[in-house]
Amino acid sequence: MNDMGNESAAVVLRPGRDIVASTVEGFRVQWKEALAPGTASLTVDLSGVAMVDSVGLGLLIATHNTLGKAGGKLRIANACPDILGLLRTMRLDKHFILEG
Amino acid sequence: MESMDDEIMAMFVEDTREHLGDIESCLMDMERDGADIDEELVNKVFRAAHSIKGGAGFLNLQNTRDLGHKLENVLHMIRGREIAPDTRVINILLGGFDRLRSLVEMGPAGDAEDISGLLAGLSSLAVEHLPEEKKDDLARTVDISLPGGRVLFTEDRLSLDQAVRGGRMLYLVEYDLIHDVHARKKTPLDIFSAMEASGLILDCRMDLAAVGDLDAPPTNSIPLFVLFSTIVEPDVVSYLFALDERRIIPVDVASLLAGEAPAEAAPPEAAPSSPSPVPAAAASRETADPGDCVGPLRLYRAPDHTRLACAPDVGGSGAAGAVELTGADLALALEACLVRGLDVRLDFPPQAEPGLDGLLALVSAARTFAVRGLSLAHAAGAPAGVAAQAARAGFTLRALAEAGVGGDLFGVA
Repeated sequence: MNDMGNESAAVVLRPGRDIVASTVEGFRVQWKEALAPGTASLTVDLSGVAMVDSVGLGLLIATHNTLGKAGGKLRIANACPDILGLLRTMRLDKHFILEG
Repeated sequence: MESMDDEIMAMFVEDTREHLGDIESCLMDMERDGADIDEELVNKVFRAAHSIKGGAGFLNLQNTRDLGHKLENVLHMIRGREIAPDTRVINILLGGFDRLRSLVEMGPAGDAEDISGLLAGLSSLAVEHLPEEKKDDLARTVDISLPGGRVLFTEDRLSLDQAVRGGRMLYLVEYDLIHDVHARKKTPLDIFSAMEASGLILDCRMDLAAVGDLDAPPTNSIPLFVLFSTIVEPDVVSYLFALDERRIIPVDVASLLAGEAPAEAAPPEAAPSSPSPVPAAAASRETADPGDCVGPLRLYRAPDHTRLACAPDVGGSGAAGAVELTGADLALALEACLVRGLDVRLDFPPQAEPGLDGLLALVSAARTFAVRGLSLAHAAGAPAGVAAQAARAGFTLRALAEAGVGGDLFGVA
């Protein structure tokens, strides 16, 4: 399940499983709770995530939009090559910070 | 990965090892020749980069594809005598091919490697050797808009020019990731893999604001716009990607670059119903004479001068099966045939496998031959390799008939 951590004052979310239509609503509730008002730094650690479908991409973008209101940025860490390539092809690396 | 993908990946790695087996010695020979290039040698190295790029696109290996594309660009400029292969250039190419080999051996994990410095170095090499007018094109941009006038992309003129070289066309493709992808039980990766297997994604843009934030209700629409360059005609693009043709808008690059048209993509209904795949540039291109080579293919005129035979140029070696046939090779050769206005018989060896882009080139050419009242067929039935590829790619008799192409061309009964 979704694992949350607060490392060096930055929120880190670890979904731990695919971000797809069947899991997105659960993640949405948890991620909203994790984002205290004014949070400007959020990392979604995609270790263990093999697939992000269209609805999952929508969740990542919605998270980016929420952070953007506070002047923050969404960081994506440890994405597998397929997901990393997909985010780059979709030019989402212009909006998200992609790490590792 | 699924087992079939694993099998294809293993074949790709094996093919790449073969392509790159003697690449170092070829590059050293190119350095020895200097500005007095041996065209056959440069073509051999070019085709190695081109084939690896094509295979990587099919397998969605983005780093491999991007590096292959950059190497191909530099080799294209060497072939055109815009770059002399001196020691510095050859060292850069040696480093590039060495990295290409290691990326292929890594498989999908290679996409996690940072090759941005290498790509930038190859780009710089190409740019520094561009003629002045083309350097200007790199700095000058053109806006590409939806028919309503909304600007979606701003691209430099050089990239646009390159995107439509070799008979390719440029499309502005509009997806809705929810209705066009998710509702059809596909993933974004499926869509991009299919596109990259048959063309080049020039740019991509998402409408992030349309998605809303975490407080908004779940979105019912995620607009995605893709600027896509391919040899495939509009109706075949829609057939392949199961996308309504109204969402695939042809971009008139020639008019944009000439500054003659409003900088917006033409709506689909304004496009010709049977667009010719022979681009304006091809009309002025020197046509092939009987017996002349067009890439790795050779065109022969029949004794009665009523038709052409198009066959791999094996140089009398008899090693027909070793000839690489890519979609770009086929498109160029068939364009040369079309310009001559004669029926064509394809004389390929049984094991010829032109790849998915080659199959699409055949579909595109067959439609245009039919529109012009010309015949395009195999001399002795579809080669087994073509039939096997067509079957794997899901070409059915019904689908081909809907695209206006007979099954004989692909051995589909």
